[in-house]
Amino acid sequence: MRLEPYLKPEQVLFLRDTSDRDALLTRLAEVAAEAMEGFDAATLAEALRTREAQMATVTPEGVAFPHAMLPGIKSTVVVAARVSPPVSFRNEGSSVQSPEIDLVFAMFGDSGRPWEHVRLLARLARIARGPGALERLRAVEDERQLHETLVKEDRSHG
Amino acid sequence: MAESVASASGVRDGSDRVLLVMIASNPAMLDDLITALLDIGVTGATVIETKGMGAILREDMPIFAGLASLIPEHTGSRVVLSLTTSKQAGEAFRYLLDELEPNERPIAFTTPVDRICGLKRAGDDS
Repeated sequence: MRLEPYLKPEQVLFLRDTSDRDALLTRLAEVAAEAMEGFDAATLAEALRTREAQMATVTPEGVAFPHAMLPGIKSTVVVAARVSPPVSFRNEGSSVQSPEIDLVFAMFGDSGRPWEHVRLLARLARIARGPGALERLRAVEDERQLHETLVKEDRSHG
Repeated sequence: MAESVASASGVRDGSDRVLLVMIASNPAMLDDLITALLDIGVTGATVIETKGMGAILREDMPIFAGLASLIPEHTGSRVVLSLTTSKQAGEAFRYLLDELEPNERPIAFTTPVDRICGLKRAGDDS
C-alpha cells in the first residue's frame, strides 16, 4: 500500500521545541483536524492519548506511530513529523522502557475501515525499517526535505 | 454433480489462490515479514514455530549429539502459511528478492490450490 497518496505536504512537519508528548499529540491532532470535516482537534488528540495510554506506540528505534480510529472519518489522514529535540513517549508510571522519539507518524482513520488502517500502519513501519531510512529521515532540515525523503522511501518499497 | 456437492459442503474452487509458504530460520526476521505481508494486503496467515531437524538430532537423538558441529546452529524456524492471491504472492516475492539481503531471506515457495473450505474473508473493509 503506497503512503504517497496520503502524504500531503501541509501534513509533514518539522517541529522544534515541542515540550512533551502531550503537546506533540495536540499539535498532530490540530494539523489533522484542519484536513478533515466534522472532527475538532481536541477530539482527535483525546483519541490519540487514549490509544497511547493502552500501550505506547513507540519503537525501540525512537519512532512513534500514534493512531486513532474513529467512526465517520471520511478520508484517512497521515501527519508526519521530525521532532527536535526528541520527546519522551513513555506512559507515566509505566515500567516499560522506551526511548525518546524524534520521528512521529500519526494516523487518523475510520473505524469502519480497520484494514486500511492496518495496511497503512504496516507501510509506515516498513518504511521506517528500511536499511538506512531512519538516518536519512533524521538528516532532513525542514518540512520540504522530510516530505521529499518520505516519498522517496515510499517509492523504494514498490 | 461434483460441483453442487462441493458447493453444498462449503468447498470451493481454489484456482484463484496459491499457498504461500515461507520458512524463516531467523526468528528475528518474522516482524519484517509480517509487516511486509500486511502492507501488501495479505491479512491472514498462520505462523508455526517449528523445531528443525538439527535440533532434534542434537537434543532428542543422543547417538547424533556427538556430531553437533556438523549441524546448523539455529534450533528452529518460523513457518508462515497463507492462502493468498497469485498477485499478492508475486508482490511478496518481489519484497523478498528486492528488499532483503540473501542471508535474511526465508525459504519461500508457492503451490497451486485446487479446493478451499473454511477460509474466512479478512482484510476487506467494503
